[in-house]
Amino acid sequence: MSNPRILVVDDEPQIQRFLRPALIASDFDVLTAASAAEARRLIATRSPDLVILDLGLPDRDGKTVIADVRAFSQVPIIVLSARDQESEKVEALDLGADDYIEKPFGIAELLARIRTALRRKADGPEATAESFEFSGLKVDAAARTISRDGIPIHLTPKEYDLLLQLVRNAGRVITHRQLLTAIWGAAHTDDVQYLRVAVAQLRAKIEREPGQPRFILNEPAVGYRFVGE
Amino acid sequence: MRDPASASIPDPGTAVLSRELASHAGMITIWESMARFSKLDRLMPADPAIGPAPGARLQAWLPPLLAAVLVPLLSVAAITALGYAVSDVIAGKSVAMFYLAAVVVSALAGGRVSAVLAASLSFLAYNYFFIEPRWTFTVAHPDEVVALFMFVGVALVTGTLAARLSEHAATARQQAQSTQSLFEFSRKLSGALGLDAVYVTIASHIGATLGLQTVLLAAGEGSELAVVASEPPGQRLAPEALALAQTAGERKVPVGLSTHTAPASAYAFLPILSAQRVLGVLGINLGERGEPLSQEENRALVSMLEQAAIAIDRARWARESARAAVYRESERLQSALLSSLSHDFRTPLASITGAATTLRQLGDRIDPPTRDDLLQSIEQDAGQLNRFIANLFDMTRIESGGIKIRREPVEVPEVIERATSRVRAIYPDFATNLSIAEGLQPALGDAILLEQVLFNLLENARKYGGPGAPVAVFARREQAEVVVAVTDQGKGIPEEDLDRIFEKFYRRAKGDGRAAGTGLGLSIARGFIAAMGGTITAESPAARKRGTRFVVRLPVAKSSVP
Repeated sequence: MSNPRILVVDDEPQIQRFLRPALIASDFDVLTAASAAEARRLIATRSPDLVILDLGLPDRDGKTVIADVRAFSQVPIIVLSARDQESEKVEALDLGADDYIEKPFGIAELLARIRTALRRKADGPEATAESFEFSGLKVDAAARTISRDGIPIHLTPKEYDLLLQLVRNAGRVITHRQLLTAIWGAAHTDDVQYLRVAVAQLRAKIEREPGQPRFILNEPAVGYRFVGE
Repeated sequence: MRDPASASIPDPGTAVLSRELASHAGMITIWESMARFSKLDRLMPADPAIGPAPGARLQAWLPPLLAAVLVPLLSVAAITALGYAVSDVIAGKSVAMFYLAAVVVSALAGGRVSAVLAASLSFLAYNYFFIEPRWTFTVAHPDEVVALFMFVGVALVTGTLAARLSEHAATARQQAQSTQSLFEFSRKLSGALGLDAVYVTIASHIGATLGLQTVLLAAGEGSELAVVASEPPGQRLAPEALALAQTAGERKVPVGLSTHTAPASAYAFLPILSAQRVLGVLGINLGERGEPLSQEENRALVSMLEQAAIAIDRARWARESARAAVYRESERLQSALLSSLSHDFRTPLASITGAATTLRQLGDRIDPPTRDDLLQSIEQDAGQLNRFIANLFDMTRIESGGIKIRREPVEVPEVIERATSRVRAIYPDFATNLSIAEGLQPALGDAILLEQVLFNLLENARKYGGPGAPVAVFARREQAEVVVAVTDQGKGIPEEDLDRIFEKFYRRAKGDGRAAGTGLGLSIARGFIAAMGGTITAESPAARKRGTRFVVRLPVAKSSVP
């Protein structure tokens, strides 16, 4: 099997300068693009397995690339963004980006995100597995039962739905809006408070130390991420 | 008619009077409608065909006091002559009716005093000329005594009423005039663009309306009142008068002439008030006129001040909202600058972090030349960050004035040499075409700052001229100046942008994709050169429709001028 092919879309030569050797050294094939138009063309013609996308591009806003690409491809997209651009991140994720990483970032972190995204892609976009197990936490979707270290945990239907959304997207950030739409419906996309309460209750039941959660992580102003390992 | 036994008029003397009395109501309505008619006319004074009311015309011809005496005398004399002429045809008693006309005319022309005078004169004349025995002031018949006094009573009442109507008409006329004047004022005010124009309109219109000198004071940027307009323009106030005006503003009451506070002043100061605050103070100079404002003038002034308050309030609000817009714009600009700054910091930092972590975690799987390239990129980006911070620091020093400028002879060729070698240390491919005049005199300035300026210009020239394209540098003397020029071979800069490139954080290319830099280099260059007493300008295209030339001019050091 050939190496996965990654497209890096960034107009800063300095970023390409280290990303390229790092990705090659990690057994990926690397394509590069410095503009939105070039990125769109390469995604259509070379079908990369994953796209790393900087949102600040010279010709067009990187977010328009996500919208365009989602019309014909489900290729995982990891967005490079800045810490002070929460709304940009949320918009990108809502448009269909799979994950984001803040500049400056260490290469290990990026590689971990890439692997998570590629694994999810291999499993298929709608993870249909019926049971999950993460360091002692067992989720049986067929029987709708949860247990930790063999002890059953009772969840309300909303808490269960929330947990299932999170574990099915394990490793990936899900925006507040996406979670609210999936669990409470389209009418409640702005009621982040519902979500906060439900997450707090869920943490109290499944985390060993709810004050220092290790399963459900907060992504401030963006959403939540379920960490399996 | 002269038959006392006439059936229709049993007693002509009393009959005339009682008929007069009976028709009073009718007369009043007639005069009232006349007055109303004339009032309506005055609302449309633009039509010159409609002249002033008769009373006004009389008053205009004669001094008021003379009219008040002359009109009764003449009218009574005329009625007497008329009555005498017709006394053979009609009964002498009927002449009383004619005298009422004289009373009414006098009342209209001269007011109450004239009416009383006319009534008294009529009484005497009627008695003397027409009541038996004629040519005496004696009255033979007792009933005629009654008739005579009835006549006087009716004449006085009629005269008073007529005079009052005449006064009403005059007031209405005046009100119409002041309404018209207010219309005019409000039209002028709404046409005035900006607060200053509003101030000038207020001072000049009120001054012209009252025929007096006016000064308008308003609180400027500070809270102190100052003269903002006057009629005639350019007037100043003595300190005492200014203090009075301030009192008027603080206490929100009129002060000065004919008020309780400082009644001896030449000026009366009236506050212009809106619902919440004092908008200004109007001073009117009554010193030359020597008498206070009449009631009508006062009324008109109050109305004008109300209009003025509305206009000032509106103009101020407009000015404040314009300021708020400017403020919002500068906020927006600032946040754009911040995001540009954070981008410029983050990109080299991301590159350093990325390269360092790659080397540490994947180093053994990367070939040596690539490892070397990553190390070099770390070095370069650290250097860029350092220059970036130095630029920010320089900018702060320029803006806070905390920079020490030496003004001493500077050997320009040496400075050019140092600056170019600094650029070459960062970009080994950097090439220059140097052209330095033989025996160039030293310039007056600061060698360190000049080196920084030239470094910024050379680095820009390399960045925008493209790597490998040589940058042309010349230095020579032109009259009393040393001129240094740096010319690149890039695309050039459109003329409209030539001045803006020196603005802080101005970057011609937008977005993420522009060349790395802070947008500070040129504004620092301009700040330094200006501090040294020189100039820096940009010219584009420099040659053959391409390139940009930056020209620095510094004075030649005096000691070296032969």
